[in-house]
Amino acid sequence: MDTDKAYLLGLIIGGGIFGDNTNVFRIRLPYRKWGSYLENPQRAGQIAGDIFRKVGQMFRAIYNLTVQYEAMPGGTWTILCEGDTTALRDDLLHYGIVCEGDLKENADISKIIDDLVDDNLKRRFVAGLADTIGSMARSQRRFTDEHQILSLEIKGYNYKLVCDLCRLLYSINCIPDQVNWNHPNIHCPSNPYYRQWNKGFKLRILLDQFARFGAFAFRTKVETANENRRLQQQTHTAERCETRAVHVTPSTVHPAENDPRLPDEIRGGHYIHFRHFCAVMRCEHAPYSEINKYFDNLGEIVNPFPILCKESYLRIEEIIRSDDLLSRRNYDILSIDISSLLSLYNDNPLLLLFGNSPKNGYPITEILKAVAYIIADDDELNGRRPKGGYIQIIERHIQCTPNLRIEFRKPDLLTPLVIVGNGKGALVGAVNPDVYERLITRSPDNEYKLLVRRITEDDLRNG
Amino acid sequence: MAKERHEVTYYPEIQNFIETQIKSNFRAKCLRELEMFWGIGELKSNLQRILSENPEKCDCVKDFIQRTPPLNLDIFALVTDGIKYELIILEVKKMKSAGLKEWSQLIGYCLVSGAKFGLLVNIDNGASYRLDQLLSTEEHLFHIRTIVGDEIRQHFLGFMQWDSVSKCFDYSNLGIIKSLSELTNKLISEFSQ
Repeated sequence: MDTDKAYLLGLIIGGGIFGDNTNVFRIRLPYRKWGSYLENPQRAGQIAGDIFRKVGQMFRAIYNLTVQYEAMPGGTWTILCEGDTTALRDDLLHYGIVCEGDLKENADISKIIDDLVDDNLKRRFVAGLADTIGSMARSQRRFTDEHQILSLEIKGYNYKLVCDLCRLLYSINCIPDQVNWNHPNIHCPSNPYYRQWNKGFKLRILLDQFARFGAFAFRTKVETANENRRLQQQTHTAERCETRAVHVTPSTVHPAENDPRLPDEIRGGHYIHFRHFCAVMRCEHAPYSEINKYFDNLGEIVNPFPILCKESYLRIEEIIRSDDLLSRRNYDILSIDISSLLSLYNDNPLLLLFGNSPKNGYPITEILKAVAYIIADDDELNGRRPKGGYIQIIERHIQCTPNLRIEFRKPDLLTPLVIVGNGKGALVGAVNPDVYERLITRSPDNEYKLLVRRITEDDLRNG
Repeated sequence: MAKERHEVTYYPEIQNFIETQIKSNFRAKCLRELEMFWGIGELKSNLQRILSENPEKCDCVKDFIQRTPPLNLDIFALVTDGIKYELIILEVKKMKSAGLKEWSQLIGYCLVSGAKFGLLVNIDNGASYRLDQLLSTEEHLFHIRTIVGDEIRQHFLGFMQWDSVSKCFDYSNLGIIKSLSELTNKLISEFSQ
């Protein structure tokens, strides 16, 4: 290992794709809009310069390989490395990495990390990764421009790689701000019928923290980091994972929790927060006591039904038909005055409706989100999301039609409430902590892994 | 408009980067530490200062200081494991393209001082076309052997570009020292002899 190889290994782990031809391999730079020559020709020219000056010259100096590149209009760049790759493959093999396909899908980087014997070597490896998969698109921020983020974006299901990388970053003080694991509980925590949950891993680090302790080699990346940091009014430092407060919001049980592509350690579990994954993977930095606190009230934060599912009317009907528990219900058809709902919400935003005890029922906030979606005009929605606040949509519509009503289909047990209208439909799951609590157990192999069994009619009747 | 920086203001970041890379590489390969001491300007007096500040670590360089002539340099590094030492001379330029004149200057400094390693560094720019051509073909210009008295000396030279934005080197593959890891490998082989 040396500092140049550490950088090149970072590039290769980040974007390396190997095929059958041993005289060539590719490094894919998924820069998307940020690197698109159509969107920003000047930046594209700088990226080309970085590829030649930094990657090309270093590959030639270290492995005697030549480099070419190809840029796609969408912003994906491919570096083509040609020549006798034997020495490079031997180096990768030495670290237990087999040169097949997209390396980051299966690579175990623990042996590489063992050889990064000081912070500088680690930083060079991280620079290679940040140059390939580090995104600083304008959307990479925490809520507002004030917290700029570098997001390391990794497709696939290699949890160990992400965990190892996170620890490596932590060891050089690039403490991750957030890890979006490639898991349905992270990417779609409220709708179990949403199938596009596999959006990849996102390891997010405050840009200030990365600028101080991390590194880039690409001049283009450094310039973007500087531009983005200039949008902030203050400099921010990261909080340590061990002591950082954890705020959990309720999440739905998603069928893809059992996806066979998930590693054994993760598959079959339900996760209440991104840091819960860290605990299950036994990271030494995980906030175990914070996670444990929530384990006392699991019925309140785990829901076997959708928290809110917004679809077309036909799709909602199909969902109900395909689920025995939902299709066997008797539904009371109610025509509800939306103004009265809004008044109830204004009086108590935590109100539960149609329950059979003070602790259960349908949350008024989710009901109003569903109502807003259903009554909204097309130009008031971004896909299924309201433009602006959902309350504003409701207020606007009530102003035009003061007696506006909507159809509720209330089931005889606390299965999801169905709200329909305008060719659209929504399901709102009930809060029912005492019943849901009984569905949850801990894995015998891992005290932090939560197993949730399917809910039955008996559970609801005996609730 | 931002004020143009003088080349001297880049010295600390260049020194720091080289030192960090060499020490890391030495640590990774030999699992032990090297000491690096830097001087800017005149060689002999700077070496005397380094020796007086670090008498134990730099005792091995005492004889060399006595016989070395006064010589004005941009930057040099004294690298030592406490038993042996090597000198690295940096000729730092900030110009549109560094040419044969600058390369000749580096050669001259290495020959006069006896430094085994020399790097010509141009800030944010590369080599002239002519220098590029010469260093791509004429090995005797970057791997120089001299006979001084009955001693055969070797000098290993390289050309690199300092990127002042990303604060790291862009390699040029010109000269015999093509990378900092290669420079460390040569140092390791000197220290292990």
